[in-house]
Amino acid sequence: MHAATQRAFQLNSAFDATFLMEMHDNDLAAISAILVTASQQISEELDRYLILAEKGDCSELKRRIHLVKPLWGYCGLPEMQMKYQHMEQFLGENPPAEVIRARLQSEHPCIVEGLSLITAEVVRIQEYLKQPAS
Amino acid sequence: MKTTAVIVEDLSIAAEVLQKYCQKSGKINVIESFSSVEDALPFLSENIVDLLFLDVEMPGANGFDLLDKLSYSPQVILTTSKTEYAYNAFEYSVTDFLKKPFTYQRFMDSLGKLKEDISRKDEAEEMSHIYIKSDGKLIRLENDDILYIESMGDYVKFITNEKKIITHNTIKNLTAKINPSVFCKVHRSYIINMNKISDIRENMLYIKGTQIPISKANRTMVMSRLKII
Repeated sequence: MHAATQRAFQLNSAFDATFLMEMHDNDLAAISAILVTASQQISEELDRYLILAEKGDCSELKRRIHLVKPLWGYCGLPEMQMKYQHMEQFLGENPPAEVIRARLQSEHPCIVEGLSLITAEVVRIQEYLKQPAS
Repeated sequence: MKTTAVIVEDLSIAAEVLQKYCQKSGKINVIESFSSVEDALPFLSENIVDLLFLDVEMPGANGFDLLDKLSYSPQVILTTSKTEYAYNAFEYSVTDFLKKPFTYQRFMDSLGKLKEDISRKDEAEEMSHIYIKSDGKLIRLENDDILYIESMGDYVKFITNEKKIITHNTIKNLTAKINPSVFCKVHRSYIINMNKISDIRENMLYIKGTQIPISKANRTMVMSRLKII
């Protein structure tokens, strides 16, 4: 796909398009690949969070949130990275298990929404890339 | 000559982007990428690199543990998502601190801070000869005359076209002092003149008929130095 054609594609305004386009030299296929990989990793980790919260394993949960946190940034969603940063800080205070569970439950829909946003954008990009170059 | 670098980063996406930035810059040659300190340490103990892109928090040992264990001090650019490490970064005299994710421009700004060391490297690359102590005198050896250097415990043997000179030194010490654009450590017991290789077969290279092993840890570095068409 030619760069000139790709410039016509507008990323969803929720994404930091300038950052993503600059990071990948306007290569939509590369952006799509990053979004797929990152969302898979974030999704896998999300399943683990609830298990760790049930166990009350605060330090491991904090560590895992820290590891995944930049992935949101690499997806061009800095607000979600900030959300994870706040969760990490919250866990640093070593709250009791029930408080962790409650916090995760309240954050869960927002994280899922973020993941859905990524999935939808991947579909949009891939459909766009399938179109013949004009 | 490009600055040689190793990436130590457990987040594959971050490592890929960093690799891409290095390539785009045209200044950095990433010779290896590792996802943990445990994997990186054997390589970095065997190979001297100019620059380390180092994540701090990784499973197992952290980035600062790696710096504690290294016997030399490469330039370090920390890549982390936690600003709390800024103080440690200062303590370890790291060159820069990149908060993930970062833009290409920010990355290039960081490389700009390496300028002084790259200049120093350029000076080393201009060295056309070395002096070695032997039999109570200093002997000048032109780089171009040296075929290879072989370890003999606490001594090393310089092999040239005409002679063999034994001197009290170690391969490790020499690795840091010789001209990096000419010489390359290929095995814990051998430094070779890259311009003298006649051929390479699997894990062996040949210089004037002498067979020299290439260790697994050094193979990537050696291969990255070859002009393979």
